[in-house]
Amino acid sequence: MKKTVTANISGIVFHIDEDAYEKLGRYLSNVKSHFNAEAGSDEILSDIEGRIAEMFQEKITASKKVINIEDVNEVIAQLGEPEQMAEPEEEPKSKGHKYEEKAQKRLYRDPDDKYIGGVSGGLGAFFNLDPVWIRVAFVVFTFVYGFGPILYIILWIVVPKAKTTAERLEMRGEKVNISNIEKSIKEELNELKDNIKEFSEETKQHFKKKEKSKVDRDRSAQMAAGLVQVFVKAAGIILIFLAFSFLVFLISAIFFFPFGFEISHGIFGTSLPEIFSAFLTSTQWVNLALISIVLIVGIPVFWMLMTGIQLLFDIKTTSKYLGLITFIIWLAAIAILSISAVNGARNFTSHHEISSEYVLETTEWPNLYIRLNESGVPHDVIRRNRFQVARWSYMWQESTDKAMGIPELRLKASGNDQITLEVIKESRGPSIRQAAMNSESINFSFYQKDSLLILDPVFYFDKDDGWRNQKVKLELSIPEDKVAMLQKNFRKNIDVQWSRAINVVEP
Amino acid sequence: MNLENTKAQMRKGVLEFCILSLLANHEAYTSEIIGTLKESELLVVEGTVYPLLTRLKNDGLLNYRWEESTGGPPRKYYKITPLGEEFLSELKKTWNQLVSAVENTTKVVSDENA
Repeated sequence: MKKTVTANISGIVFHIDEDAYEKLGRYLSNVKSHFNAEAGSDEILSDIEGRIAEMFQEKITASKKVINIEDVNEVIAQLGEPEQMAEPEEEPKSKGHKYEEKAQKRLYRDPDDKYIGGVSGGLGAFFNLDPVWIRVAFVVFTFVYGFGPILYIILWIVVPKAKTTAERLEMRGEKVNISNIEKSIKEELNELKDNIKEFSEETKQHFKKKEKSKVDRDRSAQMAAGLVQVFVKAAGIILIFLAFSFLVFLISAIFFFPFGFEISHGIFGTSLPEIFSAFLTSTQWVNLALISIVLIVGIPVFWMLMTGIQLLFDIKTTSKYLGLITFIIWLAAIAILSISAVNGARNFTSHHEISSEYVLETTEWPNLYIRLNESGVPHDVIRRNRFQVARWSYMWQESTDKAMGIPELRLKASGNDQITLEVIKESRGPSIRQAAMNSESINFSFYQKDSLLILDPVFYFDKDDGWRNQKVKLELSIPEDKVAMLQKNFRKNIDVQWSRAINVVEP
Repeated sequence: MNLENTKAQMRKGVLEFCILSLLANHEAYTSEIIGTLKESELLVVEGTVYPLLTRLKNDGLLNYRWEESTGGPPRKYYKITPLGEEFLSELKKTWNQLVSAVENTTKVVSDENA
């Protein structure tokens, strides 16, 4: 009596003697490891299995239902030991009959043609251009936001140097120019199309057959690989583009232009250093905060650019530590910015206000006309050198080193027949003393001429004091029988509130 | 010099050529190809054919379709591609050159010996 095993070979069930089964298993695993390194080894194996199934079927008759060890030996003899089948691809990557394989061109830094890091030489080899033109381009782009050096340094870090002869050959490779890129993209797309067509035909033909799933998987793997290639390149281009947009934004925010956007109560024309110096005490802190914000935004931009270049030019990661180091620097920058924020917040801990009351000359006139001093502030200052978040605003004059704020006006009934104006100057500071000094340096002027009360549209303080939420509150008390006449557009410029007890007219 | 080895090398080079010419005329499934090659005594073991077919297919010289067979496992029917035809005509040229070159050289040698 002998034990038999059932085995599914290429979708067909056979009864096989146990010893024969073991022998067959060993044989197949030998074949498999023999072809393991080769492209399509799975396919070779499944073809061989198919053939084995075919041969076994020939050996089964009405009287002989079980495959025995002799059958297996015969089959193996017929198929041959793996060593007899073929050398596993003797010359790897040689052009031999694998001529369909495209000579892949890679971006390297050229150590033989270099001034600094060989970036231009490598790019020249890649795009088949004289490196002189690339160098000229780098120099020209130095004057456009300083992109030249930034890009150069990133490429220097990301692109590996061509060390071996093979890498140098790869660097020169096949010509890559616009028409070639177009061609290769077209080829990839066509391949993809063919794959999809074949795939759908095959699925139609062999919809029910389970054993085909392997082939289907091969096909869909190929298709997926093609698709992934296209997406990877596209993602690379998008990342590089995004990184450059962020870079333009960052650089312009810091050095060159006022902010480009103007949401009704957002930040108006100003630069980051101005904002920081308004909040922070010393230039050191301002510089630290600036550097850290450059790093906080710049490092992710650098990552984007790096990843984009890697995806686009198919570069493997050059340094394991680069990511880690930049990440640590990034965290440190966040820490420094937080510390400067705390430091800045400390400037707001104490509060002080000074109040002074002025009794205005009473007039016979029934009306008091309230106006703004038209010659007060040049409008370009308000539009340009201004930083405003919600109701806090901060403006400055470049010529005088004076900063400005907008006063608030409250009207109320005086209860007697006097007109009084109370001017309350308030400010915050790191200490009561400092807050007091800040509020003392606030300067606000007004004058009265008969029935005209003329207010400056802004109050002034030293720009060096920084912005400490300086405020000027004007409390105007007028008799109930008088009418306060507001100038046209007055409330557009100054925040005014009044009690119901008095008469206010505005055109 | 190992005679068996030299023979195997010669056979192997010719095998690709033979498979392509075989498929140039008509589609065939793997066992059919093996059968023909065995008849012409080009094959020592069948196993040689499978990796070769896979390589030719991966290089785009052949493609195949599946077809059901009665009772047996489904069969791969191979067909030559236009690229394969080009490849084949190049091989044919080279083969003819080789044959005449070999004939001439061996003739000269045997004439000298005579």
